[in-house]
Amino acid sequence: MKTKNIIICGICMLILSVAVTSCKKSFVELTPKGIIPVNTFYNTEIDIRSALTGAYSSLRPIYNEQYGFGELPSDNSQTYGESEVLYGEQDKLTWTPASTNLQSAWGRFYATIAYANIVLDHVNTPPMTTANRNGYIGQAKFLRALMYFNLVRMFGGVPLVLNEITSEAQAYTYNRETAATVYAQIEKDLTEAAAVLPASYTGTDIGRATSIAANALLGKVYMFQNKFQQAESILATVSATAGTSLPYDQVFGLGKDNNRDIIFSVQYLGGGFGEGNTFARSFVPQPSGTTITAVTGNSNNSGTPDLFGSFEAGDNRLNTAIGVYRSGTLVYYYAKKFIYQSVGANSEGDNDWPVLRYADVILLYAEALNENGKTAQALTQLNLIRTRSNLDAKSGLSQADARTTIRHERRIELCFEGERWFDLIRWGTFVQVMQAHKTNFVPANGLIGNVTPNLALYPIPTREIQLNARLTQNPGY
Amino acid sequence: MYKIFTALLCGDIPCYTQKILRVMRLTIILIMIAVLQVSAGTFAQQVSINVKDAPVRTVLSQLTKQTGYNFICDANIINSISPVTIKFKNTPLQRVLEACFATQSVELLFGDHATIVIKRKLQVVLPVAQVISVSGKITDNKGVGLPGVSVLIKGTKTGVVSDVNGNYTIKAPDQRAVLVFSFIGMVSQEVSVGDKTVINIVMADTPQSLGDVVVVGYGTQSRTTVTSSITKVEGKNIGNQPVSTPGEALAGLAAGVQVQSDQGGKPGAAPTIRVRGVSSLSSSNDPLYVVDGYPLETAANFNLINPSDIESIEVLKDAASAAIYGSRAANGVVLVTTKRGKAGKTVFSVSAYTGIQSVNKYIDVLSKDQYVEQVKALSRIKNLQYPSILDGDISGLPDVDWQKEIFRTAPISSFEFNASGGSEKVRFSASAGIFKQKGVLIGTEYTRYNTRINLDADIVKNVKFGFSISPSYSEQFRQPSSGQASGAGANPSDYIIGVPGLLADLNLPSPLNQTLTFQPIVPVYRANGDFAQPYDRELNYNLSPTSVFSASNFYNPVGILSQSINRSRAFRTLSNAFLEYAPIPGLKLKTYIGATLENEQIHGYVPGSMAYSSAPTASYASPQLAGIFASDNVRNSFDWVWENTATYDKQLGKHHFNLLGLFSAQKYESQINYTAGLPGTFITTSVESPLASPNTVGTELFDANTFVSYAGRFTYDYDKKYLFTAAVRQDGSSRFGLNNKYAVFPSFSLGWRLAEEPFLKEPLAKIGINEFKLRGGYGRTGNANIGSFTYVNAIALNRNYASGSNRIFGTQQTGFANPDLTWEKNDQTSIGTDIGLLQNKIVLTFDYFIRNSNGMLLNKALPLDVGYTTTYQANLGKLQNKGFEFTANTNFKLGAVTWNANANFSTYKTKVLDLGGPNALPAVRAINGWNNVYQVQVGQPLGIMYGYEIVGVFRNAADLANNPRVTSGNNIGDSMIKDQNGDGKIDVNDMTALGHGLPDFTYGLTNSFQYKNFDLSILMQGVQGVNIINGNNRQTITGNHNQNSLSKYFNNYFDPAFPNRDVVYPSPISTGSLPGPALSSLAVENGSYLRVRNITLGYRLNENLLKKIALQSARFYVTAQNPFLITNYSGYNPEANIMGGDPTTPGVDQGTYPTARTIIFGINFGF
Repeated sequence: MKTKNIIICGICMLILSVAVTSCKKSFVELTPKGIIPVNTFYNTEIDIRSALTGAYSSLRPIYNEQYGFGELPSDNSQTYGESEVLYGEQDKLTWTPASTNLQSAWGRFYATIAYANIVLDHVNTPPMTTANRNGYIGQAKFLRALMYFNLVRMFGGVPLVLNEITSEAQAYTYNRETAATVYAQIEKDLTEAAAVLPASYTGTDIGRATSIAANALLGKVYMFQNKFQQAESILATVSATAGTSLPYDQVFGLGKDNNRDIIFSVQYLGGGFGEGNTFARSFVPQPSGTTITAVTGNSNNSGTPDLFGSFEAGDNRLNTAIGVYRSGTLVYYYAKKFIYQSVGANSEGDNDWPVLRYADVILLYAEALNENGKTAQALTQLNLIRTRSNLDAKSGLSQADARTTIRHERRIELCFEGERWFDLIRWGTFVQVMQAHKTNFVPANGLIGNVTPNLALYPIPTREIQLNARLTQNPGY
Repeated sequence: MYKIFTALLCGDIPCYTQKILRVMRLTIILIMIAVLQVSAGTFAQQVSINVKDAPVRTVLSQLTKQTGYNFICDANIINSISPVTIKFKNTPLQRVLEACFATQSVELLFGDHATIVIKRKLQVVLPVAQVISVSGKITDNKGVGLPGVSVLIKGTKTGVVSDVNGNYTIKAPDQRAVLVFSFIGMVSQEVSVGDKTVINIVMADTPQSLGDVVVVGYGTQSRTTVTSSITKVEGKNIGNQPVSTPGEALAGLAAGVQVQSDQGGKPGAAPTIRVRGVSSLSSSNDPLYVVDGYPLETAANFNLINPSDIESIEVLKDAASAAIYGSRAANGVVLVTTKRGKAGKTVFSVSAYTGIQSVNKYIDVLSKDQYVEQVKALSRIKNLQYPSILDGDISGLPDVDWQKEIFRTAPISSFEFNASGGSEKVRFSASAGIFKQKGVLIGTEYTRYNTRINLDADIVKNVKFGFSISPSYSEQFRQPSSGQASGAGANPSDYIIGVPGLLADLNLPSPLNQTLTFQPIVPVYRANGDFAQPYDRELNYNLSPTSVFSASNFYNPVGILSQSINRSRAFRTLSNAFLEYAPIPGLKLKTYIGATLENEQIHGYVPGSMAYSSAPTASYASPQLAGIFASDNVRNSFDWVWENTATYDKQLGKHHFNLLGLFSAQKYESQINYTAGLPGTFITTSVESPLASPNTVGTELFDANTFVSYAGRFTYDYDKKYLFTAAVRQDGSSRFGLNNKYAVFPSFSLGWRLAEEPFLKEPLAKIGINEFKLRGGYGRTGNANIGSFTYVNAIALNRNYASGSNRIFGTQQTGFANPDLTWEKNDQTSIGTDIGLLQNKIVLTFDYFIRNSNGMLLNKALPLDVGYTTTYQANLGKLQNKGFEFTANTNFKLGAVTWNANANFSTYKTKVLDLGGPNALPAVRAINGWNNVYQVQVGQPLGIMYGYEIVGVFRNAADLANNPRVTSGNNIGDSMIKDQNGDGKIDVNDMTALGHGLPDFTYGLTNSFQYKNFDLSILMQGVQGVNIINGNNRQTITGNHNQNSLSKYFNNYFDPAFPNRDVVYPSPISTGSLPGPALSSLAVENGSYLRVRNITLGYRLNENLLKKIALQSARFYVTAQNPFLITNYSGYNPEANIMGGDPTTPGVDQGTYPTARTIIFGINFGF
């Protein structure tokens, strides 16, 4: 009996252990289907191309919201009560370090930087032609520079991440660099990008960053550092590539992607794939229901009466830029230039967001010329914009008057495009302008907060400071 | 258990001559006969035997070896019979036995479980002075005759046993004689003879008591020797409730098991079930469901079981009992045992019920006259326009109570039949049923078809085979029922599914929230039969040709509910089979294979005639192609499990050992295919499918995981007095990081039955205690519900970019590799005691536990400059649950009334111990617009609701001057907020705990009564010390001039025209009351409740009547489900919780489905 027991138990154990050992190792190591583990990717040129496309695609959410940081705080646009929870704090200058909008923006910029870094880290692995490789490198550097430009304008000096972060510990090693260091990196990236990128594309590459875009951005970057000499020389080369000027209403709207005025834009695609823009959903006045588009909007980035009144008589840009909708006693000056009527019920717009336009470059060039004492030449550039807008050409102005006129022209030409707030800061006039605006203008929704010079920089998001104690806060927050 | 009665032992143990012992034995034997459902069958098995002058016990012993049968033999017979000489070859067992006992007048009875009973023919029990002959029939509560019931004349050893049909006849000495009827597993009864000559007896089942056998992981155990915390729920308490899922029926039945029907009466929606609190903040807190030994991949497959197929449910609550399930047992284990066949006559039964459900409460909102008055008042205060038609005579305007339009009285019905029975070799139980429930909210419906076959076969000696298959099909129609009128804040499970990454899910407006604010002056239908919309021109409610009065996102809720389709059809088959071999006594080797096949199709369709945000002007008369939404997705999954167990059970004197060894492997794979038409591209209204669009999009998703496990368990008891169990399991799973694929889960528990100690037995008996067990244990369990490939970083496809109008394919890196990712581990220490009083007429159970969850999976925040990901999952947090549970079971006979009661009470407290660095997780919203309400903080319990405490309204300048104000300033009419920190200003630092969403305690009380042919059971269940955020308030008391409000808002807000009015709510133009969008105390309500869950009254027809219509039994009953609710909560359902099982945001109600009151009438027939 006893031995029989032992034998049977032994057999059982044997069967079990055979069953076990035969499948133990591989059984619990599954390869996921439908997703690609990172360690098997980036091995072909196609992988690099698609990763670069993925980096571009991360621009879409950024420029869906760019108005919130570049336009809403300024005297150009505002929110209404119904969108108070979304961007009220930007409108009223009451943002805090805990603001989720700022945290999201910070994250979105670094996401694009990470995608660009990943391309740059892996681009040398797979075999491909040198021309192609240089093209990918140039585009990735352009995207990275564009993001750091946004970051440095909003937050000042920020951590410079130039490679993929692969471990948690590594993520905590970054300090805030000085704004000058960040600008130097931007200039380096753009110079290198401009050297290798083509001036134009054909086919489905249209819309990618060109050498012109890199130079245009570089010119703008110089302007933001008041490096007017460098700005003038580089912007001169860019403005030389501008074609005949395009009427304002041919620049915006459906089916006008990549027109002659566009140097670089974020390419949106409607059609319900989640790849369209949210401009209609954000900008259409909420009380309008579905009378303007099939989308019920959030009344964001609506023009102020001040902006509406600042258009000179006869300016043919007004009707393209601003739509007027009345609801009871309220008047909405909504951002019509970004809205076309047939935006579908799925809220996805097809039109693009201009990041760099020739009109922008020409006005920057005019500004640089004027600052360098070449006021007459500056007015020539300015008049390119004015005459195309059915306005009289300016001549014989003093340098100071020319400065005022050019700045005003920028305000009108680029309204709602996310430039005004940064321009006011760049010019050092934002405290004065916003104080006046606060005094003269009762916003639709609550009072504008205290206007202090510290507002020139947004605060570093609380979350980031809490996670990485090396980060310091901007003054005043 | 049977062994002690076998012939072997009967022979080995000296048979005492004391008569008293013999009587005891006889009684035991008689009881055994009863248990075994004896029938005088034939013993077809063939045996060979050749003995000379051998004692009978030797013969029986040999026969046992040959046949596997155990013999139960009256000690008297064994002792008095002389040795036999017999020789047979391949002779039927019966003939051999007859030859054996040729000299005695014996009866041979065959029971199931391979047992043969040998007892003297009844005449051996000679009645004493026979005076009165009493006869009658003994039946169970279903009216089925009970054979083998012992009928004794009290105070004597005279007795008889009922026959196969339950009939008995006994001679009583005189009229003072008392008959004692007893049957194991049933409540004994005593009846005075008096002048009666016919005494019919209905025996009632003994309620749950310490004597039961309970199912434990991979086996069963006598409750007497269980050392861990296991709650058993009898199937009949689940089967008798008219609910769509078995989980709902568990509410109030088991201590430590919290059942929250957060979806109310939503047909087919499973409740949230928690065992002993919560263990995880990010992973599932659902227990592991094990059905007939099969560990299910999802709780959904449990909720598909027909409740009346369930024999019993055992909940393994503590880690000591659950740890044998290792990495999936952290939230407790629910063991479901379905009904299996018993040998004997085949029993057919048919059950059916039908009934109606209705909403038991409507919320008071304004009707027309008050509404119009309020519109005018609010418009005046807000300086807004209202339709001029309201200034005239409004008597002709509609006056609609929109709640009555979206709710209905809905039918519920069930029909099922089953058959069970079999021979000693093959037994079966088969059932089929249809359950159909329409929801009280129009457009919701659930239908389920179930079939099940359970088969058991004893193939050859020592080999058993079992097989189960249970295909089921269900169809559920869902409607949005959470979130606010616009659809914001809804539970994603209410969405109509789109195509992940390509087409967003469709989130329709919540009709439940919307009806409370929908204008009563808007009719439901237009004259042409179309649904009326508040902006319809002909209603004259517009302000101007371009300006509407109604809120722009309000669409007729009846139109949405009666037109949108969100339908799930699921076909599931659970099947398993086992082979068990017992090579030597006590050793069982078992191999078990199970498989689950699932196919679920979800169809979503919004017709062009439905008005909603994508097609505001759609109607039947003018359908809008732009509004059409059509999607289909199909999920196919296959899961298999293979388990091999070896158990060895051995009694050595007073030492009893049980050993278990286990190897198990399980693999799950699924694929979901999504298809949808792109909205805006549909070209016809007549095909309700994505096919109606030439532009369809689709994608697919895969999932897979594997588990491989080894486990062992050692159970030991000494004389059933000192008890010990230890178990260990090692699990490996594909779900974890490369560095941490395996983990070990140990447990042990101890028990001591004090009442078995000689020195304590007497004193305890004096105070009525017959059982007193102390037990305690420790164990570690894991939570593997972390998703399948969480640890990898990967390339996400379809991150595309455009070039003009071309789409260019792109990819992005996602995730953050964590090769160290591993199980969440729960360490639970539990102590408890079981006390039996008055021979277990009262059984009390107390339990206390401390449960520490370590290495909780949390999304660890990464600095955003990592870029491609913002968080990654890591094992970081620690959470503690401490709790106490109490259960009392009683079982009394009060005259003719049998009364059983079960009372249970449970409470637990949670405390966050660690979050891996930060002091708190980011605060989250309760509903859309009430932000930062819940925050998981170290040192705090879960579920605390933070917000501002409103103390009044600023009614004048003096109020403004004398009270703290928000930093941006207050106006007259704003709410006054309590300055919690006393710094003289109101800011975010004045947020305070306004309530908590996890209850102080929960309790349940089941009472069942039996009187003659009537049975009555009442189940009550309650939750105490809990708060609910009434999220409907965000819309219903905010003073929107174009929406309806709660009745209590009427003239109860600050109106500058009546500044002295004593009001609760701020001015409708107040915007800056709170420092930001946050919760205020006005919306936090007491959510305690006591609910009568179920009252069932049944009546069993008399047998005489039944015989005429050829029925075995017939019972009629009426049941009221949720008939009464006592609560102060003003919403529909105090159990509501928008986000269902999310442990961090409990107690939020906004547009959630109400609980239905159900009245049914049912019948059970047995043939």
